[in-house]
Amino acid sequence: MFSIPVLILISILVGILGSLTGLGGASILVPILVIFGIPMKEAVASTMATIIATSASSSVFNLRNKIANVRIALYLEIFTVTGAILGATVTKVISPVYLYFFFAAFLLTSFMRVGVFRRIVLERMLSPSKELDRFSRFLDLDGGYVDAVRDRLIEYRARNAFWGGMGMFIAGLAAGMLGIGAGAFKVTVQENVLGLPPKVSSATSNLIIGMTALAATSVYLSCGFLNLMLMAPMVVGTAAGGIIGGKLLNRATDSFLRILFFTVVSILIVQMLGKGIVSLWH
Amino acid sequence: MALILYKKNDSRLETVMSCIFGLGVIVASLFVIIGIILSHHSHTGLDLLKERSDFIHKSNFFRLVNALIGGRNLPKGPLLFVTLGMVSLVLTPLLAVAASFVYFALTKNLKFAFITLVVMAILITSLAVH
Repeated sequence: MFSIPVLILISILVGILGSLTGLGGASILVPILVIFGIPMKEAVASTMATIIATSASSSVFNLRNKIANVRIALYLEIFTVTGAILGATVTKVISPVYLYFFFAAFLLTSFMRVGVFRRIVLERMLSPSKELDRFSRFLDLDGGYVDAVRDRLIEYRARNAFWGGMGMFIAGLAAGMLGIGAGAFKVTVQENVLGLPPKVSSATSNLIIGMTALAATSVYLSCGFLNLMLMAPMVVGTAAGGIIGGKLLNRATDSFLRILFFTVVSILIVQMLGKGIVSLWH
Repeated sequence: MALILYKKNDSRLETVMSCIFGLGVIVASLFVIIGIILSHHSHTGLDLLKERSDFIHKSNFFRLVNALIGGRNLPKGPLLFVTLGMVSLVLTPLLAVAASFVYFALTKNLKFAFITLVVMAILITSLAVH
């Protein structure tokens, strides 16, 4: 039986996994809901609200610790929110079959930050210019925070602001279409295009995904895809799991986290592709 | 010490936004938990795959808020609390953006006041139009 207590338990586990792997909760929850027989569009719409909860709870600490940059978040928000509204509108009208394949393809972008892909594509082709362009200078997107591990002030200045915005539009589009935060993609754009420090990228991405999800939720709300009793246990579970995961993160080794990340993403890709192929067959 | 010396960190805004996010999550979670507890005692029970009408059919977010304030056409029982939780969640980032606009306007940072205004306009339009 797929009941509220079962979904709370799953959401707690997903919250822990999402927090440890940096994938967030929604990209893991959507495929799980689909396995339990929830229609794809309903699963996508209902997980959107859980993204707002995860984003808000993590932003409490990230803002207090001065790691999330409000100015950069607001500038990038223009692009992600526009993309999310467009993405959610597309989801309303297209067949769910395409969503399975697009979901699997987008999960593949999670591998962008690691291994050969990072060395070849990101570091050689997309590495940000050392020169500060005129638009970035005009926006003056800089900041600083005290790194607790190194115990010193880390100062930074965002570059390639225009291309960073374009990258965030794509992230927003995918987030709106798939009911996910697209956090891995957003962090990649901020680190490799804007040239922000990793901690700032993660924290600012967390701040942005809540607002992106808000825009997409409004679209799903109006077309009646938002299942309240499906959303409720996920909000409670992922929030609790996120807190537990956050506490476990410092104790986990990098190699364990990397193996966990690859395992979870690979399972999700295979599962969504399988679902898409079965849907095409019928 | 270094943090205090860093002049471009918008400390006041960050503190206010942090409080808004914290309060929003607490209020939303409380409503949702009450809804789940009430759902346990209702006729629908806790099974999520039973045929039930748990979807909101409103033309847009602001009409839903208006209905909640006016007490008209409201969902009953557990769904009312979950709806209140959902509305609180959606309002949380919107309030944070509104607070940013007020901050940048007060500090006469017109560039970021304009950027924040654009974000707020997109978000409000999205909530009002759909």
